Amino acid sequence: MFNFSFTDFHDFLTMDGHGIYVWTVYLVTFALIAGSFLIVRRKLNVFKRKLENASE
Amino acid sequence: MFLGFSCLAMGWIWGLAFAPEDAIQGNSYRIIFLHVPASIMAQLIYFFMSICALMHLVWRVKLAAYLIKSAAPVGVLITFIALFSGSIWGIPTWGTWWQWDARITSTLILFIMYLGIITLHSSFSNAEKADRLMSILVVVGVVNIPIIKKSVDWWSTLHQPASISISDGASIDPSMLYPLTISIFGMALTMIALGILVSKLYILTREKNKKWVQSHV
Repeated sequence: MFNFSFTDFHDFLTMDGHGIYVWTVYLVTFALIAGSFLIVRRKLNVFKRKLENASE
Repeated sequence: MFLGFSCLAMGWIWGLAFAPEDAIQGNSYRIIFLHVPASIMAQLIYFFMSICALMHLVWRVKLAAYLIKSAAPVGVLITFIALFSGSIWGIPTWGTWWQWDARITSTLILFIMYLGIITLHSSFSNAEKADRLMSILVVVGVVNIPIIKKSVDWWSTLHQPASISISDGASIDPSMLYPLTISIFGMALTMIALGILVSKLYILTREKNKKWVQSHV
């Protein structure tokens, strides 16, 4: 079950011509999800800092 | 969050590198490990919102409305990912990135519903009124969820039937099913973590003038 499905790393990247579709989807999704976490975290920190400054 | 990312990474690496090639679709089928979890989450988030909307309308639970407003942007994100991954997958398998078939069109309607909910809430200055109208819209829109689910059975569509079904079990080989299950679990945990973070931000912003927020921060 855990045998590498490709002959080498180049084969893994190209995936018989389907690599461009597969990798595009995974990279865009990763960027969107990670970006969303970063944006929300940053907004939360900015909000907390504003409240702290207002209470001082 | 860490557990969600770990499961997602494990499912994706397993699916991308170790799952066998599909006999018909070749390696393009590996998008399934992302597309199916995203599609399931897009529908589950809306279902969760509809339960919250009922709680808000029937029992006037304020937190339920806050959760709907927080879940909607997460729904936009994951439905966009489901549509985008499906479109890209369509290029090598169907020869087109878009087709107005029942499953794809009903998912596009779901995406527009999420955007509509956010827009509707933002267009009112009275937050309580916005909460109520948003909840009504969410309840009305839930009719689209069974349509998405059953669209591949009710109509003749280009989209393939479900790979995993609660009643019929899985129609795919275990070597593909295991990484897919882990990916679904990981995507669910990741979206829950993102939802909690967005809810925290929204509740704090909405209640910023309350004493408990000052003491919490």
